[in-house]
Amino acid sequence: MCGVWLFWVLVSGMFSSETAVRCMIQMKNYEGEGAYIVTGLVDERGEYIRTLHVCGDDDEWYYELEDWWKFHGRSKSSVDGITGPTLAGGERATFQFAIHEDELDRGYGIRFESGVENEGYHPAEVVVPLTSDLNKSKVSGHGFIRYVRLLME
Amino acid sequence: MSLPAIWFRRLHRWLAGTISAGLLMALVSGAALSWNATSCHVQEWVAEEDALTLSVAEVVLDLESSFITLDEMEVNTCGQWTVTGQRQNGAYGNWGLRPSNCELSHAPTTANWVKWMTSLHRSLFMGTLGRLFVGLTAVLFLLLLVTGAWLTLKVHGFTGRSTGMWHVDLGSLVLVPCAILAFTGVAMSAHRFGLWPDSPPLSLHAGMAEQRVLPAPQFEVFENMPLAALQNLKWPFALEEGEWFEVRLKDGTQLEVDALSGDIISKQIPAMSQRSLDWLGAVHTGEAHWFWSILWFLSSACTLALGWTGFNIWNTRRTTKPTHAEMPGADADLDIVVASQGGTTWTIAKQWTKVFEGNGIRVNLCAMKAFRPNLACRKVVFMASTYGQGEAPEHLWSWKDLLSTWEFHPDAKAVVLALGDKKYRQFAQFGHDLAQELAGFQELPVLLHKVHRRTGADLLLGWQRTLEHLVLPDLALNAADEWRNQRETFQVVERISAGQMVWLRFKPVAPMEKQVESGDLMAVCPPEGNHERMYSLSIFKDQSAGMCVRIKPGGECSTWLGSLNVGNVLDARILKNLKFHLNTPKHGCRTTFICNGSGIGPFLGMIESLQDNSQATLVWGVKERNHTRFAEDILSQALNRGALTRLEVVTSKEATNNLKHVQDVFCSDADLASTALSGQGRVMICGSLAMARDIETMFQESHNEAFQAARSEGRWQSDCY
Repeated sequence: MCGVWLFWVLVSGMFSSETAVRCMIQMKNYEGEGAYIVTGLVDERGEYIRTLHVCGDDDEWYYELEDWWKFHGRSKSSVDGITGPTLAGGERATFQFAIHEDELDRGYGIRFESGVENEGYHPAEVVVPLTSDLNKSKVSGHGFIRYVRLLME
Repeated sequence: MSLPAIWFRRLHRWLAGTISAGLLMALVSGAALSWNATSCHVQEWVAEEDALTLSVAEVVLDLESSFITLDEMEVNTCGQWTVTGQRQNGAYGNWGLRPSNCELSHAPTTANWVKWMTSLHRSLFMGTLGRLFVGLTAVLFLLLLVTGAWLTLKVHGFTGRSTGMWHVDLGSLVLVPCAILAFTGVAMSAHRFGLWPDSPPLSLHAGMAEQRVLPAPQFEVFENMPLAALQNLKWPFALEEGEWFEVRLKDGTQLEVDALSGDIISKQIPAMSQRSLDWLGAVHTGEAHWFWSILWFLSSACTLALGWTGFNIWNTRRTTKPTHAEMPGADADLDIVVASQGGTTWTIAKQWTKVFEGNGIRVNLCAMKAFRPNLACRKVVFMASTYGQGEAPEHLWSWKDLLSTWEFHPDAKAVVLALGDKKYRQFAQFGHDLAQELAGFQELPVLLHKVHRRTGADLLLGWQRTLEHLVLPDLALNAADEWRNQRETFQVVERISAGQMVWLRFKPVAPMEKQVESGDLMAVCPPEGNHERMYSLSIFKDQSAGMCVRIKPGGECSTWLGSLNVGNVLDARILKNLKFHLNTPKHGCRTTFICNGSGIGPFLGMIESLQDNSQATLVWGVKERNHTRFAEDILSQALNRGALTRLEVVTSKEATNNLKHVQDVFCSDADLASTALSGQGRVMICGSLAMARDIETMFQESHNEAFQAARSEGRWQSDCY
């Protein structure tokens, strides 16, 4: 029985393809230190499934992104290769991440969690539903992010 | 009015102690980071060679052939380029770029230890609190430097020469670099906490001149922009209307370039405050130039060494705190008062004390802070060390107030041994000032002797002048002194053993030039010995000299003297001991000789020299009666001619009538004490110090007024050891 299950997992993994998603974060012109922003894949309940990108490469401050830290702090899984510098007021960052096709249209979302030292913390500043017709329109943030744009390649 | 140096020294010490832990971590991490910055500059030189002539447009053109999409290109402090984008093979990520040939490689990364050190240096891994702590440490470090500089100027002046102290010389060397380092650090912290003056950048917005679509490599702005000036270039999210390239130059200027036309949409030039802050930050991190990074590395290392030398100074002073801080209560013939911070002057004072006490001169050795003049003591030696430019030791900064409370005996004399260094313009100034105050305010006859850097010759001269000024015996400070050559040769002509004592009588082999009297001293050094021992002499009418030696078990000199036999010769120096001469009696003065054991030494010659009917008294304490046999002839002759009218020999082992010690004789016969201390009497004591103290205590208790009068009128002569 276990063997069959393992076989199914391996086969389904082999045939599950990935889609590249291009993402841009445009910051508001706020005063203060650079913002730490985590981009993550969340399930229908808003719980983190995977970290997609981290703006801010100094892990000293990661704990300030409390919601994500509850997820990431337990496993401390590597974020090497998906981190970049913090984003100051007015700056923008463009990056790319991969999404499995079977993660589309399941009620999942791309969540942007942001925080600036001593300035504020927004656990779900932007949440974009992960659907197969993801277009590149701007989605506004309510904290430090002016808007985000996502584009499925 | 200038503040005393001690305040600054204490503040300096307090600051150093307070910030030591934080500063240590900042310096260690700073040294490591500056080393990294230096190695970055080396890499930068290599990288700059490549990027020197290229324009941004040329590089963008090359990159577009390797990437499907481009997000960003950026240069780090080491001059290494990183490109972010999706390659033609679909791979997305960061790549290192060599601009000259558009060769892609692994993206440069920051070593983990650099990140770790940066976090330690910036915030001690404690977040905002850590940043606050580091900022405060930088402020206090700046203050530490200011107090250090002030102290150096105050103590050593602005000579530009070495002071001979590592801490001071090294501190002077790194003062300016450390001040810059601390100031730039303070500036960065101030900005972090919103205390740095902030003004908005100058923003220029341009309207669209014409709507056209051009590929990015053909943008005029990129064609005219050298790659060497570029810090960071971000591509638009999509090549569409309303999107732009974001350009940041190394001078802080930011441009937004239209994604389609290549026109500059806006330009932000940082304000002066921001530019200066950026520059200060680049200086602090060593990114501005290799000169700074190397300077910070060396300065950090030197500052760590400064911490160590400073700790050593503090520790040395702590461990060499004077042992004689309290003023001893006992009477003394001489006060030695030490005004010094360090241990060297105390060593000299202890050496002097040892020599004095070894020759029967009682010394009170004490620190100046604890000193209170003893009215019974008329001889005072001040050993005053000067610090830097004429400063008193720091704990004596209010020494003039202290001095104003002193009261000396009207006949007191003082010597100020002023220790200092001639490299300072005001050589030994503190000693000089002290001597002036003593002579002026206290009206003391003061001899000032300045000693340069505690040199042996200066000290020896000071010693000789001190003995002369205070009318003290001509003692040798050290057996190795040059005056060792002034020795005379004597031959033993009589040797009588009496218990632990040996009576020796000598005759000089050659006639002596010196006029020697009973009470003078013979300085003897055994053939293999290093230190002289003093023995009181009797000088007899036949020009022979007598000496009574108590043989101490293990005593180098006494054992050797005890081994001499008739006919043996010895070399010795004769020293004047003016305070213990039997001066010509005034108005029929009656002398009471008090001694125990070998203390009889000088008295036999004195008694022989007494005129007939001098009516002197001798009280002599010995262990057994037969120990007096070597003196019997002289004493019986003196009794016969009335020079001596009373002889009391007290034996401690054969006590009779409860008389065991010499003081018992005076206790049992009140008239004897009254006569001894009467206006026409005088007392001479020779022997052990314990016996002398017991006698003095007894007289103080029973006849204090007469005793004090005898002492103040010079009718009380003591030569005990």
